[in-house]
Amino acid sequence: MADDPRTDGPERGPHADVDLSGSLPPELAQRLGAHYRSQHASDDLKRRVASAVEHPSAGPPDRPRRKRAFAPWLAVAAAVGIGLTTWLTVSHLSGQAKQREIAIEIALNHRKAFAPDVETADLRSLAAQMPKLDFTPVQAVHPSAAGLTLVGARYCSIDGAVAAQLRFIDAENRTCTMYQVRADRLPKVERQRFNIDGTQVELWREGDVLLGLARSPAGS
Amino acid sequence: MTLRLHNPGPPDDPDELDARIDRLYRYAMAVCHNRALAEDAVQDVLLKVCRDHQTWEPAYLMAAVRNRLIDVMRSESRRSNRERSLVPASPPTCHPADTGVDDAMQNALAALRPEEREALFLSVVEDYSAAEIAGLVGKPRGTVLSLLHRSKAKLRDQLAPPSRATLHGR
Repeated sequence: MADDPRTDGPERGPHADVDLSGSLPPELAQRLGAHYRSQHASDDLKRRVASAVEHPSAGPPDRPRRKRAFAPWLAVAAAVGIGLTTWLTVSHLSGQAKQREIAIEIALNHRKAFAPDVETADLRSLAAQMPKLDFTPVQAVHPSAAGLTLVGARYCSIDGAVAAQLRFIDAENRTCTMYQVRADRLPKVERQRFNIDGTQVELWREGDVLLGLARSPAGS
Repeated sequence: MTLRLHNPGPPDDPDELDARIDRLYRYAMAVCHNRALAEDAVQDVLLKVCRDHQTWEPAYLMAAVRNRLIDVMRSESRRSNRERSLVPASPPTCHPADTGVDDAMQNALAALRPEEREALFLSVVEDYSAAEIAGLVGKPRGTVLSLLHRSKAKLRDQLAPPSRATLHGR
């Protein structure tokens, strides 16, 4: 090779290194050299490199690479990943659909505007006056429920579970209805808002109770 | 003062280019003892050097090939370890490089560790000093001397004819 990586420093020469490394018999060293000198890179490799030297930017086509070993774990991981993604997507979509069903049922109940079975402004007395409820109605702390005045309540059902429909008057003297039902009677519900044909329905959970608040559109 | 770095390009003479490729290939073979790996590594390095207009300084090319081989051999080793857990009879890690070559030498070299083979090649075939080898492979000179001692002893044990004293039991 024309350019030799070895330096011409003081260590060059036969006595540069103290021979602590042992020695090979001369014939063995010659045999080793002959062995390596008999080995040559393939003509294909040389052609590709020569082509790359002549046309550096062209980028000669790569020699076919050695076939990579099939990695079974990769296939398993991919299958698990796809399955998990599919399951999460389906469960998310079905959960979304279920929440919308509940919101629609609440909107329908709200529009029917049935008269309350119990007229009271005291939420704490509702549990005693509505013994068929399998939960105790709660004073909602969610900001959407702020400024509401209770006027009465009646039994209803949400997705087949016994629920309470609480009738409120808001600060603008508009009627809105709140629905309370034991959360474990229904599929898991996340806090969400819906617009069901103009009726605003908001769902959320407080403790063990699922709450749904329905308001008619302004001006109706 | 401006420091000018010498950045040698590829040789113009095709024969010289072939000789450079062969020399790099032999070095790669000394490191990995596997024809396919050696060709892959040399190709990867030289094509990249051409594409990026990098230097053709031999020491740089050898270091690049060495690093490339270390990466590949590590991943191959991890893969073969995984496969070994599934397949009881594991394939040999090194494959015969060339047919029609010195089979005994081939087998003796296959029995060496890659760093032993590399040090032996650089010392005996390329005539590097231990200090130069140490600079190239990034190991202390004492470690290189130890590698040379072990590799030569193994080669002698496998290939050198037994001495007269050994034959006569003394």
